[in-house]
Amino acid sequence: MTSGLEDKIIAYFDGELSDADGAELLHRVSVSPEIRTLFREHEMLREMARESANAVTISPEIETSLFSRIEALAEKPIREKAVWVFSRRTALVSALALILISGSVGYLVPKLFSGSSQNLQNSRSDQQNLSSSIIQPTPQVQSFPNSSAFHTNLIGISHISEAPRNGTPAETNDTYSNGTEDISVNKSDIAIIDKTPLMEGIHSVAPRMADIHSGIGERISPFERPELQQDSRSLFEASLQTSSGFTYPADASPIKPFADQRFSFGYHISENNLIGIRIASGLYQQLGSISQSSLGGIEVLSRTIETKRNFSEEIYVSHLIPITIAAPFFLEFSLDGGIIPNGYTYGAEAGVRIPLSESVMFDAAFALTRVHSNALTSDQILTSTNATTPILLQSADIHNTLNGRLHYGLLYRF
Amino acid sequence: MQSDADYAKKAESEQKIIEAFIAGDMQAFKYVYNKYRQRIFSYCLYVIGNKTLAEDAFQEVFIRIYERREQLREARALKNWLLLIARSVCLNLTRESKFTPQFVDLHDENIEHHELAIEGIDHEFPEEIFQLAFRKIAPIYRDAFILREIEGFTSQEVAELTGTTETNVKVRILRAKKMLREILAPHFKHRLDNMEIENSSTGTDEKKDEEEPVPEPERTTIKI
Repeated sequence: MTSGLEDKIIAYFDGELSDADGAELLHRVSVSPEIRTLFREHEMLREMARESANAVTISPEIETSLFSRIEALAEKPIREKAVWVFSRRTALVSALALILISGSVGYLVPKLFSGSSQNLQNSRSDQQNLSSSIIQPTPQVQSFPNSSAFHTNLIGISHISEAPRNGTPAETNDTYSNGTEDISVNKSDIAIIDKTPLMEGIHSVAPRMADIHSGIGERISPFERPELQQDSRSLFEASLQTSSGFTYPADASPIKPFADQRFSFGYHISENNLIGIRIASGLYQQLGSISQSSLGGIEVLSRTIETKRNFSEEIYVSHLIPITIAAPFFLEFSLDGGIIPNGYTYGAEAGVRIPLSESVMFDAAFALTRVHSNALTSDQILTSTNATTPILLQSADIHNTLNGRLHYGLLYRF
Repeated sequence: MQSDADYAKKAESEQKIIEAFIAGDMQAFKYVYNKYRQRIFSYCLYVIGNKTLAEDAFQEVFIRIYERREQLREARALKNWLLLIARSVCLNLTRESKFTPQFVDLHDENIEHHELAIEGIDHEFPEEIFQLAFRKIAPIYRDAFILREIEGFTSQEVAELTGTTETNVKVRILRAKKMLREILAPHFKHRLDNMEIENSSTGTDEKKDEEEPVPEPERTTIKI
């Protein structure tokens, strides 16, 4: 009796045999007692399995015990699930909310303080008018309380107080009045003033807007992005960061403090755009190696997802947005990608840089990174094996995980 | 307390019962329990192969079902979700337990008849015979066989539940059936003989199987 015939009988009962094959099988069953016996045995096996399953009884004691446990559970108050800021969903939502709020505040605050900006503009106009009144001589007769005050107000320099009065007829061009007497100013006196050594090299110049510092107390929207910041002339930066975060979906516990450490070295293409390289030591969830064991003659291949510390080499690009809310800081947006042993990563991050001094900044950023593991799939394992015995493959086929990390550390620009 | 039928009628659909169950309604839980207890217990019993352990597993399964009922929102079907939990509990218990059924090594070329034979066989209790026979096959074959043949899942569903391929499932079921037929052959022969006797005594024998005696099944070697 061939094994193929038994396979056909089983397939027949499973309804997987075509009509033609089924008819042929039934014909063979009808003519061969041996095949008929085999056919009947499988028929009986099928019935026996179902009857046996239905004949199973559950003892009342078990049911009583079970329901008393269930009722005890039902009476327990449902504990509120603790909200942990770094739980998977919460961390992502928090990061997005943080970015959104920062952006909104940065946009709305300048709008709210637009009145202050107007006052500043007015004060600029006053300043300009004042400068004009000092520099421009006033040809018409004006009233002054006394002559010395007049001289002081006229020129603005006190050491020139009196014109010479040595009997030389004065060339009277302008007449001023202090209310009680008329005072004549000789133009030659003015000439003397101009020739005074102390005044040499001083020229009256028109005020320029650029000379008036407008940044004090002024809020600028990041969306208007005025280039108020002067170039720092620092072309490079280096940072050292550590992180806390999670891995999805293979994380056993949501928090891994100081999970990653990374050193970044960046070059500023422009003041607010940089490109850099990064070396990191991090925890990654990757598929482990395959272990082999035997269970009842079956070759059992097991593979689980493991937490591994690996080094990664990455490149990144970042864009900075300078912003001033109470104090100046930077919003930072980056894209990065790199390789890890037996895989690769790519991700995006958003964060802030807070200057601590001219060269040192505190840098914090939330990063979402997709980690791909190049391990074989279950199908590839099964097709590549040459085992002659049956194989049971127990494998978590998770090739892609998502890392969420809050990176924080110090940055030095030079 | 209403009967399950009344309750189901009132709830209009199983979906509403499931929603009530998720909300913690004890009546809904009892409905689910009564509907699936037989399946769950037979699954536990046949996979574990030991009644005491199966009873422990059965309780643990329903405790988990109650505790994790929120997960049911994301499950595709109640039956699949229940069996998934049952499977997880039973396999864990089998791993942790020192109880190891003496299943037959399917790949032992020198397998002897007595290793396949069921000791103290009593043909009057076919359920017990089947349970004894079932213990002799390896857990992964039992698992696939029960899910497909007893629980009524399709091969595709069994593959999803067991985390393997459909082809693998079919192979396992095929081997389980061959093995069980082999082990149960003496019992089947006994039943067939009895049937023949009954037929001949009632005069309804249609002269079947007269030409050749039923040969002894090959048992010395099982080709996989």
